[in-house]
This record gives sequence, C-alpha cells and structure tokens, in this order.
Amino acid sequence: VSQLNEELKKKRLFFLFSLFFFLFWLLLLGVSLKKVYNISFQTITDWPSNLAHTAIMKQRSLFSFLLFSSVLNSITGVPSFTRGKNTQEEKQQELVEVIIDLGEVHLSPKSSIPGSRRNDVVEAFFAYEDPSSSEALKNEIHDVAFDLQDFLVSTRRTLHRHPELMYTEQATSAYIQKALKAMDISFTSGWAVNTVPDAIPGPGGYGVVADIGTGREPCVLLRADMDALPILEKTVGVDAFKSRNDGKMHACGHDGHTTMLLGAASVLKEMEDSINGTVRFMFQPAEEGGAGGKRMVEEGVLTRNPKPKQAFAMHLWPT
Amino acid sequence: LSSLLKYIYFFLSLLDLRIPSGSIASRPGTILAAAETFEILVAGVGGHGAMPHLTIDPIVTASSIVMNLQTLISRTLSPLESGVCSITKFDSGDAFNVIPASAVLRGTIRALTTETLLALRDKVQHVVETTAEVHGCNVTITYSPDFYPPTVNDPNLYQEFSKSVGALLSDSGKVLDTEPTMGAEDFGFVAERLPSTFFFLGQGSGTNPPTNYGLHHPHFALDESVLHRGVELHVNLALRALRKLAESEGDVASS
Repeated sequence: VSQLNEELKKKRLFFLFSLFFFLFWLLLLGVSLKKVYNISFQTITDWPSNLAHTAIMKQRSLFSFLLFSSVLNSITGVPSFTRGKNTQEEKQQELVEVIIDLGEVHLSPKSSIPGSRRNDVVEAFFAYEDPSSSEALKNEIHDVAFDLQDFLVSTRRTLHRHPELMYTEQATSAYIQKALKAMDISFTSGWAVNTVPDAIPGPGGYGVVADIGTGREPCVLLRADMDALPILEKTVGVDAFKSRNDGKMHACGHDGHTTMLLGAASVLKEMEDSINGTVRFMFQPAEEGGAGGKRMVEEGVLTRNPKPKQAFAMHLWPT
Repeated sequence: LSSLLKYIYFFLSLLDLRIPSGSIASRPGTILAAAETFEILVAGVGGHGAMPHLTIDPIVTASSIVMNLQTLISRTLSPLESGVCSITKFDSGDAFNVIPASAVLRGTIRALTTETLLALRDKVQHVVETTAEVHGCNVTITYSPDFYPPTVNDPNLYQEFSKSVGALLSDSGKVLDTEPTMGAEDFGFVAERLPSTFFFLGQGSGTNPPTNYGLHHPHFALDESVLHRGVELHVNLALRALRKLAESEGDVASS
C-alpha cells in the first residue's frame, strides 16, 4: 500500500508540473495574442456583447476543465489530460496498480459447517445405495442451484456491466478470484499469457483454474469463457447493468458462462467431501479469436495432476 | 409501420426458435467449425482520380480479389462439404478524386475439418496472389497467430453419457439434435485432446428484453432464468462423469 501511495504522490507531482506548464503556456499564448493581434483580455468588454459573452464562457469552460481535471486527479491519482500521452512503461505500471474492483460478491452463507462439507444425497449417489439415488441427486442439485438464483443474477449483471476484451480481462479475473475466495475455494491464476502481443494487444495472464474434490483421479474438467466483444451495446431495458465500457459488450453470453461456472463451483464446494474424484474449473480468457484456451492447454491445464479424463462446456444459444 | 413489422418479426421469430429457453441441444461429432482469419494488404500506386493510367489501382485489384474468392466455396469445395469464405472488412481511400496507394481486406474462412480449412487457406492464398499479379499489385496476407480447430463432441461419450445427462435437465426430456454451426470455439483446443461434449443451452424465449437476438448482435440479451439450469447441467455432468469414470476404472482393475 505504501508503494502505491508513493506512486500516487509521484503522479500528483507530475500533474502539478503539467498544470504549471499548462498555465505557463496560457501566459505565452496571451502574450503572443497581444503582440500579433493586439488583443488583450481587458478589451473583451469592448466587444459586442454576444461576442464578449462567448469569450467569457470560453474562459469559464477552460477554468471548469482545469477544476474538473484536478478533481478527477485527486480521485484517480491519474492526470486526466495526460492519460493518452503516457509511455509504454507507465501504461504497464497503471495496469498493475489500478485493479478495478467490480464490487461485492453476493453469496449467502451456507448451512453446512466449514471443514465438513458433506452431502448425504451425493454420498448415496456415489455408493449406488439406491436405484432412486440418481433422481434424488438431480433434485438435490436443482434445489441448491435454484437457491443460488440471486447470486447468479447479481454476478452476471456485475460482469455484464464491465465487459473486457481478450487478454485484458483484469477486472473480470479479479472478480472471479474474489468469488472463489468467498466460496473458500483455492485456485491458481495467471493462466493464458498472451504469447502474440504484436498481433493482439494486452498482456493476458487472466485465466483462473480451481480444483474441487479429493485432489485425486478420476478428474473431469468444466470450462467457461470470460471475454467480451468490441460492440457498442444497444440492448434496451437493461439500463441497470448496461455496459459501462462503451464500445465493449458481453454480446456472446460469456458473462453468463462465467456466472454459471461460478455457480457450479459453489454447489460442488458445498458437497466437496462427498465427491469421489476431482472437478477442475477452467475460467479461460480470450475466446473471441485470441486462442486463450490453446494458451491454457499449452500451459498445462489438461496435464497437471490429477489429469482430467473428460471435459464439458456449454454456450448460451438464442436462436 | 416499421415498429409494427418489428413486432410481427419478433413474434414470428419466437415461433421459429430452434432451441427455446429450457431446452438443451447438442449433437455427436463436429458441432462447431474450424476457423481462420486473415488480413490482405494490397499495395498499388496511388495518383489522380482523373489519370488512372498513371496509377496501379488497389481498389480495383482488391475488388477483383473479393469477387474471385466467391467461387472458392461454390467451385472448389465438394457439394457435400461445408465451408465459408467471408470478406468482412474493405478499407481504402479518403477522397473523391484520389486513387489510393493501398487497400486492406479482412475476412474469415470456416470449415468443419482442419484439413478442409487448411486446404481453403491455401486456395485463398493462391487466388489472392494470382489476382494481385494480374493487376500488377503487391500483396501480403497475414493469418491469425492460431487458427481454431473444429469443436468435436466425442461420439461415444455423447451417446453413452452426455446425451442422457442433458436430457435430465431439458424441459422436453431430451436433448434437441442440432446441426453444426460455422461458429468456432476455443473449447475445440480442449476437445481435440480429451473426450468432450459441448452443449447449446437454449435461451431464446425471454421477452423483457427479447432474448432471441443472435450472438454478437448489439441487441443481444441474456435470459437470466436459464442460469440455474446451466449450473445444474455443469454439476450433474461433473458428478455423474466422475461416478462413471470410477466405475470403468473399477472394471479395468477387476478384470
């Protein structure tokens, strides 16, 4: 945190300097205007009234711009009008520093005691106790999943509000990790590093992998994708959670895919001690042409122990 | 009138839904296509719009390329195979009276097997290079860093396992059989290494807002009432697959 504060201080200093230079430049401009056109700010009042009004309004808007900049700066620690001019290094620093927090994870507390996550129905299913255990399992999962509806809707809307393009899914990844922490699930992050930054911008490394179960074989893999598309959202009637990143949109349902996999993680975690085997969760970035899935396969998501024997995934389908 | 037409279209499209909310669709074998994307840079010689003879017009060359590519699918691919070649971006020029020096095309090719995709890619390369040569332009084609393989549902896994689990969670009690689509998926990279199944989770019956706009449409909306069904499908697939795997391993051990 202290390092971050120092960085912010540096940025403030930088901003003050740039403000100073800007004012200096204004002075120079005034002097040159006077020299070349013999205009001074006192003579404004001699102009026709409407012209004087616009001139004064211009001054005011300039002033309000400066005020706005400094207020924005004090909030974000980044000078607003120098943002686009940063060097590559500074840009990367920004990426590391400013982790956008998408908000709270709305997960209601569970009835089961932590440390002993057992479920009789699941145990009966794995023990073949009863021919009806299969139907019972389906109903049990339905009940638990249905109770998650509030969590699912809030998570999906949170993700929908903050779409991110391939290899830049920082906030999405952070939110997934936060949700997994809230569920007491251990995970590894940093998957799917962008190996082709010349062709596709963004650092990558925002994939998340979690294992639930015994940690031994058999193992199966469930996968969801998490990146959005460069589309300006025009959906009507979703104002409460419309994309706040203009020009980016979850138009391929990946917000829903990530949410459903998080929901499945929550359900399975609550019955973890009754599961005979391991379920691997693969949250993969850069699906829309970036081959993030290929990167994760290359990084070993299918070969680390326990090795998954089968894999499943799904896509929301509207037509 | 246009809004009335929109409503009529909307209700008609509701009737036409192949997989409404509450249903699950899939198929054994290839369900999603292999895909490659490319960018073509056509370099000519720019000049005055009134003196085309002093230029090498990249727009005409690029137009020729677009038209020549149209016969790839119709004339070189077996009628029983599937393929797509779409030019999706055509960018050139700035003025009424200036012939620009270059043109940029972008596009995608799709096929249901990697072999057909790579064959198509070779054909695109050939058509682009020879067409550019005819017009005297230089041309460079850049492909994506990674082409996508098709997403193939393991037929055995699907018939013996996934189909029945999907049916459990579908309102109609069965998994709707779907045609493969020419969309592509990263899951193909997983599915080419492990026996896998990819499902379509129907979501088109939502009304507020309508959720039957196609994927990648700026009006696309998600039917949140199907989210729990997706969770159930995930969990059922995982638990039932684990029991079946343990069972088959037990069989191997005992025999």
